This record gives sequence, C-alpha cells and structure tokens, in this order.
Amino acid sequence: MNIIQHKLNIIYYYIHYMNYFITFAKYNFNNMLPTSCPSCHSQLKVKCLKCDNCETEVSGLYDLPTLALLTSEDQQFILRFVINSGSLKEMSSELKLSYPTVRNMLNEIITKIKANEK
Amino acid sequence: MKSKDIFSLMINPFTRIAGWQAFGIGLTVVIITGITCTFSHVAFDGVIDMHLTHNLSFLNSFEFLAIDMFSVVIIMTATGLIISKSFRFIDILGTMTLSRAPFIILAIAGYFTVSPDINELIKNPLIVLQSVSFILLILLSIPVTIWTIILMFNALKISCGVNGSKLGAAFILALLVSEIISKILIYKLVRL
Repeated sequence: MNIIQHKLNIIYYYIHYMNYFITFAKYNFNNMLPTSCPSCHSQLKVKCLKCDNCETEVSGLYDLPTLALLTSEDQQFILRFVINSGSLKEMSSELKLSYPTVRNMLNEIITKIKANEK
Repeated sequence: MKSKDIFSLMINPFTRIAGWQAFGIGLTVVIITGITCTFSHVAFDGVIDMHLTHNLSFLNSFEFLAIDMFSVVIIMTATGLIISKSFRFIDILGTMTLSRAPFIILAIAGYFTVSPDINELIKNPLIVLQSVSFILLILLSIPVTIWTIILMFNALKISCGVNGSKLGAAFILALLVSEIISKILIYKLVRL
C-alpha cells in the first residue's frame, strides 16, 4: 500500500513540476512579467532588483505596481489612452470601435484596478 | 472579413457604430422604410408589430414609425437611467434607431404580398392558406423580428455598459412597456 502511495506521490509531483515548468517557459518565451504564482495562483511580489550597469542587487519584498497586475492588453489600452490625452473619442477612432464600446472597456479596467487595490 | 465576423457585426454592429453615426444611418433606413411602407401597405403599428393594411397614407406610415421610435427611445433611456451609472442619450437614440433597420426587409416583402380580404378572412380564417405570399411574409416576419429584438438588446447593452441578468430582465420589461406605450399613442394620436 505504501509503495502505491509513494508512486502516486511521485506522479503527482511530476505533473505539478511539469506544470510549473510549462508556465515559466510560457512567461519566458512571451517576455511577460509573471504576476501570479504558477503553483498556487497567489499574487507574486518583487524579491530582487538588479542594476544592469554595475550588477548591484537589491533584495526585499515589494508589491508589484497596480498597472503590472493588469493583462498586457489592458496595459496597452491604458498606454494608448494616455497617448491620446485621455480622449475616448480619439481612442474609438484609433481602435475603430464605437465610443460606448471603448468607454465600457475603460470601465472594465477601472473595475479590475479597484479589485486589485482591495 | 470572415463569416463569423460578418455574423457578429449583423447582430451587434454597435461595437463599431454608435452615437450620431448610428442615428444617421438608422434614420435614413427608417425614412426609406416609411416610404416603402406607403406603397407596400405595411403598417408598423407597434414597436415589434407589423400588419398589412389596404390603405396606408404617407402621413400614417411615418406617424407609426415616429411613435415606435419615440416609445423605444424614451423607455430605453429611462431603463438606462435605472440600470446604468453613466451613458450618453445619443448612444441610446442612435443604436435604437439603427436597431429598427431590419424592418425594411418586411416593408419591401410586403410589396410582393397579396393579403386576403379581411371580411372573407373573418368568415373563413383558413383562406390565409390560399395566399402563399402572405404565409411567406408571416414566416419571414419571425426571424426579422427576432433579429430586431437582438439588435435592440445589444444596443442597450453597449450603450449602458451593463451585463448579466439585470440587463436581461430590464430589457424584457422595457420592451413590453414600450410596446404598450406605442399602442396607446397610436390609438390616441393616429387618425386613419
């Protein structure tokens, strides 16, 4: 019985770490900043920062910026929104979408930000 | 453009067109519908209602359409005020006007329809079966009306930015109220 249990544990850990590896491989290939833990899906924190010039490393435990917690599509939307001086009208002509559609997209991002702040 | 994109644009063009643009296109189609109805004797005497008449004046045709649009826009605006935090009146006006565009199909189809005589129809309702064009018009009116209702639903959804069961319940109630109001206004205001 113990042998079966032991083998099941090995299979479980194998699947678990394969999943972990695949998730990280995905992050690395897409060059995206991971925001949630691939293992338990909790929000990640910044532990280490490194200077590219002198290779100085700063260790600590820092929260990710609010915008970094959003999806890349949402971040792109905010970037375009700022570039268009916060004009939904200009955004709608740039995205070729109607004004209320763009406003609804912005409202969804606001809801996400508020949820993240909580 | 893929067929899937065309289909989604047909049932929800409001992701791309809203406001004054939608109002302009919608009003043009409604005016053409009104003119066509005068010749095809199709009366849109209700928000989601259509009947064949034997004589329909130019004025009556536009009175029906104006009352229908007025009822829908007023009731949907009131619904928007209840269910949404912020929306623009022009979006409701534009999208709701454009939602009525499919009715042009029924207005054109009515031109090719021979309606049975009303007196004979009262005596023998089965006389309807003798007019193939009339049956085809009735069959065509079902998908067109469903299409219009879907468009109206998406118009309210996009204009007010609301989702879920709240939107569904509010829309059904608003559609019923606007239908009742349009019927009352037509009864009180239109002189046939």
